[in-house]
Order: sequence, then C-alpha cells, then structure tokens
Amino acid sequence: MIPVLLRAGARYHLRHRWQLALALLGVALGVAVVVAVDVATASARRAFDLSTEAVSGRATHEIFGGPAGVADSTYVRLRMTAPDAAAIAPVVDRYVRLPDHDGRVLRLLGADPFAEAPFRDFVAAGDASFDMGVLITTRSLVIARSTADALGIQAGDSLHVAFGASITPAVVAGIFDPHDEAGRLALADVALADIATAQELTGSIGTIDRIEVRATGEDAAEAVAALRASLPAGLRMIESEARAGATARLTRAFDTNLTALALVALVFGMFLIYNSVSFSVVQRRPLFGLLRAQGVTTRELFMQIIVEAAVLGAVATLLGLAGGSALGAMLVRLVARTINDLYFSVSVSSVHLAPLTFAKAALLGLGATVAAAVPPALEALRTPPRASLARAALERKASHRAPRLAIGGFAAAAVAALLFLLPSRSIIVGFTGLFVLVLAGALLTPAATILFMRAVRPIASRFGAVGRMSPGGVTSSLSRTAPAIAALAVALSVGIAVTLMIVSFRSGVVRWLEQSLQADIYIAAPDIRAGGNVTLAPRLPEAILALAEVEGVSTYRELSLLLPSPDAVRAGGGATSTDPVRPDGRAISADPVRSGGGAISPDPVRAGGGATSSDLVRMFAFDPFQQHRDAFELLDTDPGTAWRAFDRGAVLISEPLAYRRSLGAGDTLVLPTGRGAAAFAVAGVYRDYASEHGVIFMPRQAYDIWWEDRGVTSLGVFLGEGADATEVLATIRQLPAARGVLARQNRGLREATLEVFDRTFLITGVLRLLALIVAFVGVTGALMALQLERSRDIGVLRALGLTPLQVWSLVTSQTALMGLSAAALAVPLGIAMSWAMVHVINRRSFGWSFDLVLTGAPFAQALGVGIAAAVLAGIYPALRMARLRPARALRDE
Amino acid sequence: MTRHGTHRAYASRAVVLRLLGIAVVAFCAACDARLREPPGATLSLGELLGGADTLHARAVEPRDFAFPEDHGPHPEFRTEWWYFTGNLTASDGRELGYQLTFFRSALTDSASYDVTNRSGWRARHAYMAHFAVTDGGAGELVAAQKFSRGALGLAGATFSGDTLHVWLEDWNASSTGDDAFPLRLRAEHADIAIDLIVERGKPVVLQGQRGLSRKGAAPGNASYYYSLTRMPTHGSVRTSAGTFSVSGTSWLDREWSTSVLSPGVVGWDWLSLQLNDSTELMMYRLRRADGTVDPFSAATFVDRDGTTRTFAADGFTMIPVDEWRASDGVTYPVAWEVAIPQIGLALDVATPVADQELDLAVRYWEGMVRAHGTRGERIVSGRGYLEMTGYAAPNDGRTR
Repeated sequence: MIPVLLRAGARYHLRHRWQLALALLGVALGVAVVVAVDVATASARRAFDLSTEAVSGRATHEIFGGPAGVADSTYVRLRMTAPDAAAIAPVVDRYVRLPDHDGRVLRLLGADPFAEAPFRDFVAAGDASFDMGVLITTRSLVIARSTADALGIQAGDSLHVAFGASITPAVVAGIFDPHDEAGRLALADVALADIATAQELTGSIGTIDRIEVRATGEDAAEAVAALRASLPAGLRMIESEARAGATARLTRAFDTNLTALALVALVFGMFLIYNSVSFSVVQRRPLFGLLRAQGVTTRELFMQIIVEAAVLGAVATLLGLAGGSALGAMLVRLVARTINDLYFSVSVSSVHLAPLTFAKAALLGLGATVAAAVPPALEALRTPPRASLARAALERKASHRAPRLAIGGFAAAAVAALLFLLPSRSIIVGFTGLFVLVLAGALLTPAATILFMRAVRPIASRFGAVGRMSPGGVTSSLSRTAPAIAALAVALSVGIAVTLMIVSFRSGVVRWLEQSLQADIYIAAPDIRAGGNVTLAPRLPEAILALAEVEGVSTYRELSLLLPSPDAVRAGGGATSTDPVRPDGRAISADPVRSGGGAISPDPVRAGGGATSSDLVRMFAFDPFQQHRDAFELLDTDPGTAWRAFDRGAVLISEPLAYRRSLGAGDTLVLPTGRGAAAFAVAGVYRDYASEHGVIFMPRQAYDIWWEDRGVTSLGVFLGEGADATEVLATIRQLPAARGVLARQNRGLREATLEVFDRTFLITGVLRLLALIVAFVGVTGALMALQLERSRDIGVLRALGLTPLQVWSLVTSQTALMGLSAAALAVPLGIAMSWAMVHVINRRSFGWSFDLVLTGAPFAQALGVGIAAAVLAGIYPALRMARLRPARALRDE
Repeated sequence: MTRHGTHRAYASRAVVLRLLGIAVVAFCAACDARLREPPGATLSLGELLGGADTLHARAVEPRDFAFPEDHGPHPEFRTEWWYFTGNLTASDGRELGYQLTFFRSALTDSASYDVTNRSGWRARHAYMAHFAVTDGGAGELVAAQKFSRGALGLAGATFSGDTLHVWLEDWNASSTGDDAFPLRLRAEHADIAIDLIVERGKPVVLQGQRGLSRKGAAPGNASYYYSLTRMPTHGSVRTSAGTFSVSGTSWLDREWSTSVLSPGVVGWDWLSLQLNDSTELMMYRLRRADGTVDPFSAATFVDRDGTTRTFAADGFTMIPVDEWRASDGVTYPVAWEVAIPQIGLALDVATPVADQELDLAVRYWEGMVRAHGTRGERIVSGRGYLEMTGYAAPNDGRTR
C-alpha cells in the first residue's frame, strides 16, 4: 500500500464528509437492524430456556398421574421402594395470583427440600437469611429480590395468595439475590415454597402435580425400568427430553418466526450495505481513473479500495452494534410480551448479547461491506483509465446490463415459484423461496426502472424542461439509482407482504370467531393458566340449566395429551406407557375461545411444523348442546356425516393436527387414554386457529369410559329468544356452585380474543415498522449522497441558466420518481410474498389455511413511504445545489 | 459425664440444618454457606442452638429412665438419635463393620406450626440417616445418607406396644420381639446392605450422672444419654464382594437433648471398644480450636457385670501415633495409644482399614478398630469403633 494512496483516499473522504457519513450510516443501520432483532430474540430465547430448565431441572424422567394428579401416598410408596440409582422428588407447580398486587401472577413451585438436592440448584448462592425450619413448618414463600422489589415487599411481610376462588395468607420468609444472571432470570416471577405450603395454597392437599425422576450412573437404565414396572395403574413415566421436546416444539414455531424476522433484517441490511458501499466506490471512478493515469497499478488501487471498505465496515459495525443493542433492548420487552401471551409467563429482565450476534454483525458489517465493494471496484479498474474518467461509459454499461439482469430476475422468480409449489412441507424450502423471490425483485429493478421512467416520460414532459429531464436523469445514472431503488423496493414489499398477511389472517380469524362463538355465555374453571386440574362444581351445569332463560348447556373437559409420534403409530407401537395424559397443562393455556384464558397463536412469518416425533395437543371431552354443533366449520366432510360419526364415538380434529399428521375423516388416531392406548376414528376436520398444535374434540360418553373422570372444566350456555345475557350472567354469578368461576359473554370473549390476536402481531408490526424506518433512513441517505455527487452536473445546468427553483424541482422530482418506481416494483413483489406467506409459510408452520385478502391500505402506505423518503432525501441536496454558485460547482472537480 | 453424645447432638442438628440448606440450594444457597462452618465453630449456630428455648424440654436433673419406653422417641426435646455401630465376622472369617444412624431434629422452635387446612407434608421433625459398611476383606468402606421429613410415613420414630420402630424410608430399626428387643436393622444402598438381628446383651449403661450428661454450668444445659455396649448380633451383610452370613457385637448410643455446647470445640475423637474380657470402654477427646483438649473430655469403663466407672479429662490419655492421609491431604490419626492409669488399662488401637472416611454432607472418619494391650496383669484385646470429626472442612455438600 502506498501512503500517498491512503492520503488520497482520506483526502477524498474528508472533502466529501457528507457522502462518507451517509455511507457509514447505511452500513451501520444494516448492522443495527440485524443486531437488534438478534439481541431481542436471543434474550427472549435465553429467558425461555432458563425458565424451562428451572422447572425441569436435572430430571431425566417425570411421572404423571391422571387428571387429578398423583396422590401423596402413591409418591411415598414409590419413594420407599425407588431404586437407589433413580432419585425421585415431588413437585407442585401452579400459577397463583396476588390479589393485593394487581392480580400479578407468580409461578408457585412447591418442592420437598429433602428430596430436592439432585434436581435443581438454579440459585447459585446469594445473600439471604431465613430459617429453613420456618419454611417447612409455616405457610411461607421465598422469592427473588427482583420480584420482591417489583412487588414492594420485604422479608417478613404477609402476602395474600389466590388460587381459583380461595385466597390464603402466606408470609414471605425470605428473599434471596441470585448472584448470577441465570439465577435471576430463572427465578423472576417464581415463588418457591415447601411442598406442604404449595398444596395448602393451591387447595391440592393430598396430591402433587408430578414426580421428577433422576436416574444416574451405570444402573440408570435398569433403575428406570424397575421404577416403571413398579408404577401403579394410572401413572405414566416419560423421559424429560420428551416433555422438554414438547415444550420446545411449543415454542419452536415462535422461534422460527423470530429467526425469519432476523433473516429478513439480514437480507435487508445487506441491501443497505451494498447500496451504500457500491455507491461510495462508483462515485470515485474519476479519481481512480486519474490515479491510474498517473501510474498507480490496478492491484494497488484495488487493495486501497478493499482496505477502505474494511475500515468503513469496521467503524460502521461498531456503530451498528451499539445502536442495535440499544434498539434490541427495547424490542426484548415486546418479544417477551408475545411469549407471555402465547405460551406462559417468562420474564426477560436482561439483554443477552450472544457471541454469535457479534460474529454475525462483524461478518455482515465487514464481509458484506468488502464484498459489496469488490464488483464496482473491479469494474472501475477493468475499464481503461481514460474511460473511467467518463461516467457515461459506466452508465451505458449499466443500461446494457439491465436486460440481462432482468432475465436473471425472471429465472429467479420461476425458481421461487417452483420452490413454493414443490410438494414439500419444509419451512426451510418455503423461506428459501421467499428469499429467491426477493432476489428476483432486486434483479428486475434496473430494467423495471428503465421501463418505468420511459412510461412516465410523456407525463413528466408536460411539466416543462425540468419534467423532461427528470426521468432521464434517473435512467442515465442507473449504476447509482438501481441499488437504491432495489433497497427501497425490498423494504416496501416486505411491509406490504406482512401487512397483507396479517390483514388476511385477521379477517379469517374474525370469520372463524363469528362461527365458533355460538354460545351466549362461557364459563370456565378458575385456574389461571394451569388448565386441567381445577374443575367446576359438579352441580353447576344442572343449576344453570335450571334457569328459565337458559335453553341449553354444552360441557367441556379440557386435557393436555402428549400424542405419540405418527411413525410410532404407523409402526404399530401405538400409545405406550411413555405417553402420559398430561393433566397439568402448564404449558398450554386454557382454550381462548371457550374459556377466556390463553391466546390465539397466529404469527406471520412463523414456522416450525413438519412431522414431529410427538405432539402436545389439547383435547376436549365435549357434550354439545344441539345448536352448538354449528360452531364447527367442517373442511373435508359434510356436517351431518361428521356429527353422526361423532355421536358414535369418533373424534373431531382441528385442521393443524390433520395437516401435521395427514389425517382426514375416516382415518384413525391413537390416543393415550386413562386406560391405555386406544384408537379413535376421525369424524372430520374442522377449521381452527386456536392452537397450532392441534385440538381434539371427543364425545363425552367416550371420554367417561376411557378416562373414568367426571370433571367439567368449562361450559357454553345458550339462552332462549330475548334473554338478556348480562342479566343471566349476573344470575349465574349468584349461584353457590359458581363461586370463583370465570364467566364471560360471547361479545366480551370475541373482543378479548381479537385483542390477544392484535397483541400477538404487535412485535411483527413493530419489526415491520423498524424495517420501514431503517429503509427510510437508509434510502434517504443513499439518495442524498446520489444527488450530492451530482453537484457538477447541477453546476453545468445552473451555468446554462436553470433557476435555483428549477434545480430544486429537478432534484426533488428525480428522487420522487425513484420512490415511485420503487413503490411500483414493491406492489407485485409484495403480493407475491404475501401469497407465499399465507399459502406456503403459514400452512407449513401451523397447518391452517386462510384466504389472501387484498386491501388497498398497504399499497397506499408503501407508496406514501416510498415517495416521502425520496422527496425528503431530495430536500437538502436540492437546497444546497440551488444555493451553489455555478462557477464554484464547476471548479469543484 | 459424657460429652461425645452432646457433640453428636450438636453435629446432628448442624448437619440436618446444613443439609437442609444444601438440599434447598434451589431455595437458597446462602443459608448453606451460613451452615457450612465446621460444627462448633459457628457462633451464630451455637447461639441458635443454645439460645432460650421455651418450647422444648430441657435436661435439668437426673430422671428416672423407664425401659423399654425410653428406647422410643422423646419429641419434646430438640434432638435425638439412635446410633448403631458393630463389628461382625462372616462365616468365612471375613471381618465386616457397619454403622447405621438415625437422627431426629426438630425443624422449628416456634409455635406457628399449627395451621388449619393442613397438608400431609407438614412436619415438625427432620430425619437424617447415615449408613456405612466396611469390608475388611476388600479393605474399603462404602457409605450413604438419607434425609426426609417426619411426615406421610417417610420417616419417623414410634414406640407403642413395646415395639420400637425408627425409619427413614426403607432404612429402619424395628423391634421383632417383646420388650423392644431384639431389633432388626435393615438398610440397603447400591452395593451395600445389612439385615441384622440385634439383641440387647448387657444391660443399659446410663452415661454421665445417672443418664444426665451435663454440658455446662447452666442448669438444663445437658442431655439424657444411655448406651447398650455389647449387643449380640447376627444376620447378613452385603458388600460389593457378595453377601455374607455374619455374627458379632453391636453398640447402641442413645441421646436426646435440647441445648448444645458452648463454642470453641472444633472436633472430637471418640472411641468405643468391646474387650475380650467382657468389659467395654468408651472414651472421647474434645479438641479445642487452640489445639488443647477440652476439660470436658471423658471416658467410661463398663465392667463384666455392667457396673461403670467414669473418668474426667485428667483421668485418661489418648495419644495419636499414626495418621492416614486422604487424597486431598486431610489427615486423620487412625492409630492411638490409650490409657486409664487408675484401672491399669493400656491399649494400642489401630484399624485394619485406614480409609474409613465418610465423605457425606459432613465429612468425618468412622470405622472399625482393633485394640491390644493390658488391663492390670492380663493381656486383653478387643474390637470397636472410632469416630473422628473436625479434621476436614466439610465438603460443599454438592455430592452429586
């Protein structure tokens, strides 16, 4: 490297500070977007993993009982006889409310300290002093400092703990400061208690929720087999991984969604960087020509460009990392919120900066920057020195290349279509198609821009000389304008696609809600997110039916089931004892539509379906009021046939479950029942957006036989003509049997469900907005740099007699035209992408289908943003150039 | 006046609490740290254990022991244990030793224990058990521990209808005959197991002042303590080498108390011997932090007919003559010269298995020993158990 070259480079950048700053901004923004999304997702994921581990601990297996849990006496018998190589411990694991603290929900983890040692030590010390004896002999809790601070309570304070209808006072016996981050994360919003206290607070005296097993050493397998053999009827043991697997799958869809968003950010960041860097090289072609004319070798010059790009990339990467982390910290809360709505309570109290994030940022910031600099650098150096001084040659080349690129673009679009239409269920193939589609859009940009400008020229000509010049200006500097237009178009099309998908999905959900919310009043057992274990008073359905206004009542009994893998079923293995009835239902919230808790779990770019080894599904034992049957939109059979089969003991399954397991009416589904594995015929497949994991509706009579359980967890109440739901609801609340139940009117429930839906899409909406803002800033910068570079042209124009106002309108109209063409390009691209999201990505991720709804709003939005960005970008250069004295501008070179 | 029991009381409470702390690392590891101090060295613990206690009964004056009832639990006192050790010989001549100990410790000193709507898991007492078998043939000791609460039948101690039943899960000591004895001891862990019938043998030895073992000047600062010093034992023992039909002699220490020693003692060396002239010897040396021997160290000699003589610290000597070094450098004096000049007793005590360290939540050495020497004119020999504590800082308890 020749020092003089470096000096020349540095000089150039100093003289063109604005361009340098804008290039830096472009690269830094690209890095920042990726880092922000990465930080947000990594932090949420980490919190999620930690709380999963905090709960699962080191258990290798877990034992579950029937819907009522495991009896204390059963545990004690097992404990007495369990093999030495298999330690076992009891766990009560529920969510409780704190009525004195805005009903804040804590996870109450009840354990036996004497049996606990091998299982958990997620609090690695801290400052605490409390008497273990007190914890075991009194109703007391231990909570983390962060939780205590949030609640404003101290050790020794009394606390009311609500579970279901009962409220019990407890004392905070101790507060601890987990001294490491993992502990803090794992124990936020967790109350630890002795198992006796947990039983007393949750009214589950005599039963525990599960038994944990830790089998270690050489004899582990034998010990597990012995333990399994000694299990009394009704108890099932599963490997913790199987359960963790089910939990993991629960969130995999969400995870994939976040990853996809991160990838979108990555692609977009790359576009921004490519645009910024290639522009900064292209604009220096004359300088390079000059240097080469003076004897600098191509090789030296190339190295110079690469080193410069690397320095630029490094500085911008640092800036991007800083900005991205800050932005990510803000996003984290939104991500956590979505997880809480969809799955279960998780507190993201800290921002996690993973080494991988740094690596990604560095690779992107440095790698993409250098890579983006190479093609224009090679191009500039390959041309003869004299020619490189003239821009015309470059632009001619760029225009000539446009048709060839367009052919490539069409080819890419064809590949994308092929990928979408492949009979595959792979999400990865789907996403690959999506990105090939984006690439196609970028490749088509130059040709599309030329065509667009040609098309607008006749119209523009009506606005006089300036109008005639504008479109030509864009086309004649295609090497600079095309990347900027492509970047803007990609950002806008992603915005259009995501918006269209959400709108389509939402209208599908609204329609579905209209149909499925048939009952006038819904009543659910008062169990916060714990599902399953709390049932309604047995007398309640009759008591409600006895009311004069009530025409009929449907009853539900909700369970969580871990379905064996479809392969195992096909292999004839069926449900084995490793597949438990999962009554604790911790991971899955109550049916949003029918009991008012939980949430719908739709998400746009989310993915993660495919055939899985086993599925955690919700099952309802359903005794429907006749009219209630209309709530099901049957997809593959007529309602009459399906309901006749249902009445004979067949089950209804939701579309996602049918899709994932390739099941249809007439097929057979093996379920792990209370009395062992049993095969059930499928009566039909119905539309459902409530769960991506699948829902099964089983006739009540069949359930009673196979589970020997009379419990009811929720009710749908149908009123007679003219009855006032509000009044009936009030009457129901007065019933002694209805104490503490959750009751809601149809309308309130629909609104609540849609509210959750909208909240779910908040993160997506915010990320989309973020993409747009970045696009806006990035493209503004690029366009500004573009116009600033044209000072000399403007000088010539001014010398030729253009007024400052004319110059201003020329510059602004050119950038506006660019925005317009980007928007025009974004429309078909956005529609294609949204089609793929709806019919490929969503289908493969969740198994549900809905129709693509085209509305005008997203397009108008895209158009507005595109033009606004472009116009705004033109303002400063236009002002500057308009103020410039022609002579000075000309001398500048 | 015997003190070693007091230390066991002290140790048992400390250990139970400490292990609770460890077991509950999930809840709090700081209390673990608080309780991790070596027994005797923790002032706060001493204060805690020796503090005013209005709920628990105290040993104030000699009481009338009533047997067999007193073999059963005394829940009104804070701490209690049943401590079995024994030397056994297999039919093929293999020498085996065992230790099976049940500790009971009150969980709370407060009255807030009473709650309505009570879970079956509520408990007033915590139980800890240690189980170890030494295989003289293989030259190794294997040990295990268990913890539980006295609830739901997981652990407990009962005496009814002349039947004693002490258990922690599947480890237990239970009467098989009338009048509490014989007892059947059963425990099993991985490769080791015992199933032994233990008869009463020689009569009860009331330690200290008619069973009142005083701990300090303050009244009530004492415990009740008795021993069964020569209990004929037979049954089977399993080690990694196989299952052996065995017979031999066991020793039972029983003590219950509420208060503990004053601070300053860092450990102790305790010895029990059954000599071949049908006499028994128990002695212990309390070691203070400054290296001196505590004046409350004591010894008891049990004659053939069961009569006893007790000796204060200045009435006997215990001199270490050889040591064994654990892999991490901790040393235990595993060979001793002991003497009680007043009765002409002089013995060399050594062990056939140097490594009988129990690396449990509390780290200590407890194992079988052999003694040779003279009592007056006559040559005597015997077998017994030696316990040495406070040599190693307790491990951090995470013995997983």
